[in-house]
Amino acid sequence: MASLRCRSCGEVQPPAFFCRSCAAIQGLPQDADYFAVLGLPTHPGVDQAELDRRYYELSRKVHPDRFQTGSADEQRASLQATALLNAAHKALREVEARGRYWLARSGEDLARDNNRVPPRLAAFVFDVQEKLSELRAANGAGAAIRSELVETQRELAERRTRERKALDDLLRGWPLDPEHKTATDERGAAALRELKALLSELSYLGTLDRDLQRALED
Amino acid sequence: MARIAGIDLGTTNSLIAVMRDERPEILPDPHSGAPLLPSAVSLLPDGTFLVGDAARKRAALHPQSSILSVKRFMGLGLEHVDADDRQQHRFADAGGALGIVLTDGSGGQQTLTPPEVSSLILRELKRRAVITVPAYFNDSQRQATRDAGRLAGLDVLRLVNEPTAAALAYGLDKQDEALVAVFDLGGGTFDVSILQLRAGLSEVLATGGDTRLGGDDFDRRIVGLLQSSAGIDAATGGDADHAILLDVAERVKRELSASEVAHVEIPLAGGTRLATVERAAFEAATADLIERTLGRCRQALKDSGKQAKEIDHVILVGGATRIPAVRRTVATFFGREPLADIDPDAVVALGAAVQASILSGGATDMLLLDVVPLSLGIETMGGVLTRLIERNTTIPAAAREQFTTAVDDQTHVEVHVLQGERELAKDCRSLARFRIPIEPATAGLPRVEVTFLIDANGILSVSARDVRTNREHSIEVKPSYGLTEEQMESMLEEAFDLAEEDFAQRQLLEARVEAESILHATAKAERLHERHLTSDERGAIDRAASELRAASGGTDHNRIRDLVEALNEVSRPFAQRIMDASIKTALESKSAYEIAG
Repeated sequence: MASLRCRSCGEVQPPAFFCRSCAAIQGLPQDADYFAVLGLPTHPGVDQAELDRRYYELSRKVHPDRFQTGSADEQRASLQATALLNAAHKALREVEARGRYWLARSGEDLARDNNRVPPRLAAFVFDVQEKLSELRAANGAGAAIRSELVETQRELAERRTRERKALDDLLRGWPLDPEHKTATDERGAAALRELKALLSELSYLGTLDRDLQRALED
Repeated sequence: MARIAGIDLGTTNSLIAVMRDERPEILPDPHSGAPLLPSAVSLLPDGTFLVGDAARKRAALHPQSSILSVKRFMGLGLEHVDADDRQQHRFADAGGALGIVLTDGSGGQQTLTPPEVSSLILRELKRRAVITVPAYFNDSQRQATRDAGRLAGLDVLRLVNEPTAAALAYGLDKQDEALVAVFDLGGGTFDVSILQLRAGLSEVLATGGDTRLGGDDFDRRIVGLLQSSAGIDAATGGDADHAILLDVAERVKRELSASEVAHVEIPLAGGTRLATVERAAFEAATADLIERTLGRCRQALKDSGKQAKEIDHVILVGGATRIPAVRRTVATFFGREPLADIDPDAVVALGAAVQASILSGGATDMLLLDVVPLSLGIETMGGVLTRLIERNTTIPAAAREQFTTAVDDQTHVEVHVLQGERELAKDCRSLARFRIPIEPATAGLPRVEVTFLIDANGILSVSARDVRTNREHSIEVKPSYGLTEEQMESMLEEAFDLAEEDFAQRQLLEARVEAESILHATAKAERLHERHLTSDERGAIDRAASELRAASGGTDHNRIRDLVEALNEVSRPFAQRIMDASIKTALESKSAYEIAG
């Protein structure tokens, strides 16, 4: 990440919420690196407790409530800093969001044809959709199919838990090169492929869950 | 809620107090946390004024820019200032009145009369306020609340979510770590929030509710029970009878909170009827209402990623939580007895006072982290809502996204800002609409970057930028107060006129406040210092006062101001004699007077 010139004293330094020279609060750009912002090691396997601890500690220091009596400039910087801090915490706290952030940070993107059924889910998805259309055809009278769908919903929740666990494991064991970037060898490439597969599966399962929920509520 | 704030506009220090729990309580200065606001004013190089402790400190370095103890000059003329005073300040004639000249340190200067200096201090004193809003309030509602505070002459320090305030009232912030559910069933709305409290930090994890579910619904169900018990045909009877039934129902609801059965008389137009309602029947008739609240609780828990059994405390807010069945159901759902020691109607206001003291730099080191209650986004192709900020995102929050055009050679892009959970723009609340000019190009080529920024009060500002030309357009989203699209459009056209009207309205309010305060001060002075008053003078002062009183009932702010000035003029010698006498009698001259706050 580029260096930063202090808003108040002008000293050029690595980006941080407070100037290392004059301690003035800095409104960092919203695309600042989340790991750096939170002072965490650059690795997608984040220690939850440490993440929360840093987040709350920094919130206390940069939150706009702390700058009620500050200058307009300080208030603006505090607002930006807190927005960035909140975004960083949100992106790193939950494993799916963290996976997406890491993927984007690695310069990759979920494929454009993300709404195609992920191959490993095909059989399950086909089964759910068949039941959904049966329920629609039953026109409110399908008590049996309804209870089957409730069972499917439970199954789907379990599947998501399993996939999240797999994603968490993948991120914890992520292969990094000495520059803290995804390793460029075959191990790194395989990890990225698996990350994309898991993320698109989880995203697909999320949509399916919503469809199921809606169908059952109608 | 109007309340009278007592203000002591002192020579050295000023302070403000309000009645709380029938006892006056000093409001500490938000800047220093001190109960006293130094009566000091200092002119800054940019032409603005610094008031209070900072001004007092600045006076030591910049005596020519600052004034301390302005009260000493109140009611005096240029001919009254002595050599000692002239050593400290430069004076000038300000339209017949005494003017104090302050330099701004960058070549400029301003001449202020002592009342003008005092008004700066007064403004500082009455500018602190904390206002609570329901957690589900959307952007427009928050804006409207903040505007109401401003119109009342308050600088709203912070809008605080009601459930957060409730947790503060219970002092739960003092616990090391706790997960709290706030169950708020008011007269017309239901609101549930899941809060995470830890070591001086309160975080709203999720919030949900139903804006059409509350105690009134329980009343309506009781009306049905009353009708069948007393044999009243629901189809007959006019509005008056219905109002009577609702009134009785409300009483029955209260009675059933304490006893198993309620016997009531219903004084209908056609004669009084007797009715009996048993608690069991009431509970059976309202079970579905309570079930609806649980549905919202489940959703809020799901959104927060927590389970009912993880909740450490459940707080009850709102009068309808006095209903035993509500308490019982809530206790069963969360697996613990809810907290209800504090009056559920007062708990939020008490918490607001706690937050006010936190923001005024009191002893507690508490930080509130709130969330945005509804998703925010913009309308994209096909009238679809594209979300930039999801609901339950911690605020302040920022989001940025790039959009492009769908038609060749578009000369501008329309940005339609929306709030809501529905997919289609037409089902969401329209917050704002603006256009930004872009460099025409083939569809899909232009890049428009839209940025959302939500501040700590949950108020949104939006900016859009043509990435290629770097042309930017930004707005703070203005409240639409539930108006239709057409009304909004015409409002925008009238915006300029309205701004003028708003300004006139504010001038009128300010003039009235000023009139009220001088009338009050005059009456009080007449009462307390009768011996300094001649009967001729009294006649003249009372005539001026009654003229002013009459004018301040009208809408002409210029006339009110003129008459305030006139009253000031005729009472000046009197005020001066009081001042002289009080300087003689006391070293410390302080007079308390009150203004409507």
